[in-house]
Amino acid sequence: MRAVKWLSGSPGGKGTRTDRRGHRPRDASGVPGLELVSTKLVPPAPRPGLIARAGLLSRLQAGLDARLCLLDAPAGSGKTTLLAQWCATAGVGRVAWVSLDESDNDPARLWSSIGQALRSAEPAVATAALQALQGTSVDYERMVLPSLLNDLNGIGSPLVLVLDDYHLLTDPTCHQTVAFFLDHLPPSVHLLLATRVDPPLPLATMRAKGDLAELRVTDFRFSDEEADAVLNGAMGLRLPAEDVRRLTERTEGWAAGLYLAGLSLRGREDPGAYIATFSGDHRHVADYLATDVLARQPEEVRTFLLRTSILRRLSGPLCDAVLETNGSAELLEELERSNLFLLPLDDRREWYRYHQLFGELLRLELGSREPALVPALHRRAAAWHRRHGTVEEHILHATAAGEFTDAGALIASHWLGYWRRGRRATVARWIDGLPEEAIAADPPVAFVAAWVGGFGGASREERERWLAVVDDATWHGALPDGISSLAFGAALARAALVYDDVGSALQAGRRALELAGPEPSPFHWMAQAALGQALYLAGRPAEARPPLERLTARVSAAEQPYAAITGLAVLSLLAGDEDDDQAPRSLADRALAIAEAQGLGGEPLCGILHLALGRALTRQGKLAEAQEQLEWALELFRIDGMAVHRAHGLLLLAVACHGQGDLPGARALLGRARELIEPMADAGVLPALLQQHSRMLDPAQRRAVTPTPLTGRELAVLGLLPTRLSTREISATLHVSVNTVRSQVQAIYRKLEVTSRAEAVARARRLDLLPGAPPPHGRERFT
Amino acid sequence: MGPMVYRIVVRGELSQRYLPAFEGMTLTTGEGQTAIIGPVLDQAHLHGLLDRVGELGLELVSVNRAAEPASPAPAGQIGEV
Repeated sequence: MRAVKWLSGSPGGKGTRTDRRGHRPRDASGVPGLELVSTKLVPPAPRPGLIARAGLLSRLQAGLDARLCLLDAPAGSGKTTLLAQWCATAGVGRVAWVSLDESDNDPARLWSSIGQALRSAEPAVATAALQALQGTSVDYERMVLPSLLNDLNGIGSPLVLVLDDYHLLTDPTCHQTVAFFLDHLPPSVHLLLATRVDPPLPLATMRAKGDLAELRVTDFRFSDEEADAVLNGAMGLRLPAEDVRRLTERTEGWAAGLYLAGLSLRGREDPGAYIATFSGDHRHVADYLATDVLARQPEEVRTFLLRTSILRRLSGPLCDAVLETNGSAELLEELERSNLFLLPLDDRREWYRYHQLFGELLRLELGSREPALVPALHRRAAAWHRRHGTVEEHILHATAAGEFTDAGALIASHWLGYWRRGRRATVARWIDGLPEEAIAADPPVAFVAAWVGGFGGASREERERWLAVVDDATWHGALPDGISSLAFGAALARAALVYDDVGSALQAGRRALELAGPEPSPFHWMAQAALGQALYLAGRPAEARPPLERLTARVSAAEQPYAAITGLAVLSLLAGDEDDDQAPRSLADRALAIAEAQGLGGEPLCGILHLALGRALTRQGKLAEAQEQLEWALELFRIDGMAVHRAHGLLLLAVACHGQGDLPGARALLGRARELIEPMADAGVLPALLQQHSRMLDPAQRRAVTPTPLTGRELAVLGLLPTRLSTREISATLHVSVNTVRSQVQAIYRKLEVTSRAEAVARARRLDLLPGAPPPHGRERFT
Repeated sequence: MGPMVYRIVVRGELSQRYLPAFEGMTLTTGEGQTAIIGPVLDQAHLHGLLDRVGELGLELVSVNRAAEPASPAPAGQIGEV
């Protein structure tokens, strides 16, 4: 009989990761994967003897007419208990349940949980969304959520999605995706959030529109009658009404306080006297009562409770290992039977967790009684998880034990597998848990910190601080994650994340290529792709092209998607510079197909493909589509490490805007590009591009320019530019080689100060180098 | 800019066993309240402390910046050379 959340709450409080057998099998890459455990996705069963809070239940049911229903009250108020009772009530309809925990601060994990929960209520939904989530990097607002919402739109009867312990989410992307989801929710689906703090959603607006129903702290307070039902009914204490009233008053109807009071009163000779003392005391309710409840336990139980409080989840064997004892499994069952703060996480009574608030109080008590023992307990827990291959908890406890070398070795060997499955936030959290000195002392970990940090938005200085550790290291041979050497890893990180310095990236790319080893090595192509990109940005197309052409011919897209995508995207941009009509689009389309097939849609490294596609679409006059692609690229480029790419994207977007007749918009974009480019250490070709584009938008400046005269051969080529002939066809018409035509086209562009075929034609017409025909729609178009 | 001293007041008198939860702060109790006082490095630190208040089921009464930098130069000395 559990009257309050204290003991009858759901699994899935703070930091709980549950799994039925406790030891997930190691798969080939050592990653536990995204498979979720059913206890997290099942509403807690209300225990018999729970008091019925009929008033609250009916208000909750009524609240579900709104799009969002919020249970917003402090720890121990009874939110989860109420939800458990509600779920067990007949006729509530379908419920998809997720007990959130701290590891859900990773959008990939969060949406996998939600997707699976929804499927358990409605098997036909979320197939495509879950599929998309298997990729390394995912675009939520374009791929996962629209697909999920679309599926939900088709369901018949209403469905309620419950996210319990929503306050544990702190990741901004998680909040953003939930807000998006809520904003587009079909009418038959309702979202219910149980939380301790207001979520960052537009609550005031929703309140005003009647889209929000709320149960808040005052709604959860126990009345005298409800307290009587708990203390005298469910707990069988037989207290006079006056004592019940005093307890309610002292605890202010706080569920956890009332339940703790009941536990402390159990078996006391003179409950009235205790209540009188308690009522006259100013100490904090939980502080006062938890101490008493703990003091009333037998020594063995007290020690067990305190020392196992460091565990996020408990099993018999794990507790035995941590306490260096036997018989913990029986003790756990006994504690559960005696309602001592322990919640089962599965039907087989294998895994448990403490009620979150009580766990906190136990950890405080442990810290003040046996502070020196705490690291040792974590060390034993880490050792147990090491034996069972539960990587995440192993890292967590090793870090808490101060065993940073152990934690670092694990991170270094597992990070790449997590990274490839899109669990970047998880890897970042591991790194965040380590003190800086520990990272600085461990070159393979410093490499992970540089890589993960750089793609997470770290500054160039931060990345260099970690890579300096790598540079100074005397580490030989392959890294635990399989990367060929530390020096190669560092060079690749510097080449792939350009920041604001194309020259340094170029140098790093060359160094990576030297270190990568000859062609059969997969690292060779990684280096070629990064180098090719740097050469393009540095304005050296002749050097960039041949190795990238070899790359796209030889590399398997499935094995090396980043290398293939980067190679194709850079080739597309190069072809565009040479005014090829067809190739830019088809190369970019190939890159896009690979990214989609490999689930890399939201990856900063794939931004360049959207850049290339946007430019190709601009050239084809599909300006709205182009704009969409370029905006997508800019979103992926918003980290510092991609500053040069971002500036390039702004320039290309300005062209697409101008093409659509939005001159002020185009000017504003150029202004933003200029702000970015001017302070850069080495912006490569961008200053020249910026100048060309600025001139294009400024008619006064254009008129002032007197072009260098074209040669006769150049004029012949220019004469064919208004046609739809390709470079190859022009070369055939004029009986010269393709390369000759390419270089003549480049010369024409340079002299006319333009960057594309359409631009060259328009400019040539204005200069009377070509006959008549005003530009389409009376305004200049250039692509 | 050095750390600021903050004074976070919660309902109920807390025993000293709560000290480790608010590392680096002192707990002063009286009149049914507890003042958690000490140097706070930045906003992230402050929010971390307030999260602890929530996790421990405590009721927040007030948060104030008690003084400017934690270890100021004695008044009157600044500028006197």
